[in-house]
Amino acid sequence: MKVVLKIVKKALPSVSAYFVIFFGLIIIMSFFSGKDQEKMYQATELTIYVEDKEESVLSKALIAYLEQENEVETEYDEDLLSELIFTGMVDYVVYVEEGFEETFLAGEMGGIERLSIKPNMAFVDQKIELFFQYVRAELAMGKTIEEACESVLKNTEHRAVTEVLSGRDAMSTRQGYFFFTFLAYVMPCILIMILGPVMHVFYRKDIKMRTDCGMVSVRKQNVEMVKGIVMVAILVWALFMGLGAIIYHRDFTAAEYLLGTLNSFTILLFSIAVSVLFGVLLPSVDALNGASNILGLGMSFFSGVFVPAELLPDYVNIIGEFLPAGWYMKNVRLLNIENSATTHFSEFLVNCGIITAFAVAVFFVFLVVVKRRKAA
Amino acid sequence: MNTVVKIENLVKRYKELVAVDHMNLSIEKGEIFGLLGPNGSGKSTIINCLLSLTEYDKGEITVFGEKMRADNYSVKGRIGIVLQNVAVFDELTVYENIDYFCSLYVKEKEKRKALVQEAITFVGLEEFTKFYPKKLSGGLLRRLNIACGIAHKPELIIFDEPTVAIDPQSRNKILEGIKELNRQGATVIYTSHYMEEVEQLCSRIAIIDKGQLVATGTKDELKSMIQTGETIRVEVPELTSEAMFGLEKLSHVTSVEYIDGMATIKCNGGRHNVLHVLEYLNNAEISFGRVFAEQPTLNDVFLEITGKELRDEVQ
Repeated sequence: MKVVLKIVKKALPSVSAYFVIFFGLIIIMSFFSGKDQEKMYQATELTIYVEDKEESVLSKALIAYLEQENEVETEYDEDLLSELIFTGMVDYVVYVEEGFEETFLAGEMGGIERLSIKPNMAFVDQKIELFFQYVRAELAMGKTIEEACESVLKNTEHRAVTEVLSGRDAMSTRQGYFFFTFLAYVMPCILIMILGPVMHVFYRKDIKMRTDCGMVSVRKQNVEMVKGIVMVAILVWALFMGLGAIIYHRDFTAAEYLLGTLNSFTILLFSIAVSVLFGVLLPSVDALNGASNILGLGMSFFSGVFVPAELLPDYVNIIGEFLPAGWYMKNVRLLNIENSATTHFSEFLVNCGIITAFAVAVFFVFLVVVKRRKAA
Repeated sequence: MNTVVKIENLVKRYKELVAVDHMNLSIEKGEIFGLLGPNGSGKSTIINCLLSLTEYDKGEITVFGEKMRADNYSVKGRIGIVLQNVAVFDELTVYENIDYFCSLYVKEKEKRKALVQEAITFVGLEEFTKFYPKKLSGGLLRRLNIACGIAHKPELIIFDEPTVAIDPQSRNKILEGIKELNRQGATVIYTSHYMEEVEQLCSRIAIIDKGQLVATGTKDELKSMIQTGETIRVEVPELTSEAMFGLEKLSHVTSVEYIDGMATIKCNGGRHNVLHVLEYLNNAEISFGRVFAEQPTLNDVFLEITGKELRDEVQ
């Protein structure tokens, strides 16, 4: 154990640098993330054109409803509209015909035509449907159409204002998101740099030979080794999770942070497995440092750690499916959406299971390498 | 019971290669037993089998009267190993290294402390206890390597080529240390491809080639096994063929060569050969200069038995 700690101590300066850079980076990222998201929110606002031929209470309420979250235009002439549609400046078009309100009050749907200009506009359809359902619900309560529309607009407007002020829209990024995200990069790197040299030294042919000549059984040697490695790895992990909890505890519910901790534990298992494998495979400590960067950076790139997966080409995301960090990031993305990790708990657990399976597979490779080396 | 190590009919194969071929050896208590052979002859494989570090295909190894197995820890506790490569932790100081390797045998801290101190004194590293291995010279590193192997006071110490690539001064110091350990009661197995070392150090020697035991015995016994005996070289300005014939007629002389003013006379055993040669030269009134007499070396033994020079194999 003492030797393990001595070897670990030697790796501490470079690991400390990683640690400081990691926390410095995520704090900076977290600081800027709020502002970025605000811009992103505005940028994702849709441009909707509504041609209202009826100008009834209901059609005006629909326009007001859509204006709550989108830019709504109502006064384009036909040529300008064609040009805007052609150039992609308009996302969605609604045509309201005369008799729309009357048909609606009769309990039917007619006099309205909707046109998605861009793909993935289904949620606008849903929003509009939702508006009609709200109005029908208000009418069912005995209100007039004016009262129903006013009530719906008031309720939906209130919700929209709340969302914007809190900055906790479902699509925004939590500050702690970066903490969990960058763990996928920093955890393997740090553990390879700490545990790799331990394994490298103890599995050096001459040292192993001398140790095997002693009165300590191989079983006991392995137990001691596992104890040392697990202790160091848990310490590193606990340090990360502890500091993360202190800095980001307001960003997550207790359940969510626990799930994040579970997720990070699985990447810890993978990092331990890959560290011990690299420790016995690679010829020097310098090679270990190089390998930690290649693995950390490579895996992070393919798994969407540095660049969001949505912005990466499909083939990169496909490669990410074959990497533990890819599955880890799926869970981190679930954590980023409020309550999503808890509502998709089984999916979350499956992802954790896959990462653990990666760790087990790498550990088996390690055992095979050790066995082959002994037989050689 | 004085037999410390008994190897019977040992066979070790690496796929097609037979690394050790039906080896039989017996090492007695108090001996410095030399395993002499060129690189790749199977010396280290025999040691690995003896220490149960590698499995073997056939045969039996008994150490201190017990069958040697990987889990025979009571026997392992009585053996010390000093490897060819310096097997120490760069991250630990001299003291910590010796203490760590001693702890593989001795659990009690107080007892270990005394043993470690004794080992440090024995190898003369008192001034370097807080040094890290990277700060030590090659010779000091070798001494540390030895201290790590002997700190637990083993009864049988195996030195596997401990003097490879070190300066003559350090080599002599190591050889003196081994003799001292032997004087203190340890049985020593010493493997080397340096015949001078083995000849100087070992009380009994086994010559190994291609995994087979070529010959075994004391150095005198080994030398007596071969035809080649004493070689006498005499500076003679002029030597006629009659004189050469006369020298060849002397008892125990097997051959006479005369090249560039130097007569080389080979004898097969016998005593006072130099005296007889010089007496002949005097009687024949042949003037001569310097005289050299050389006893046969282990290389001569190896050469005569295997048909090749031991030195040829050294890398």
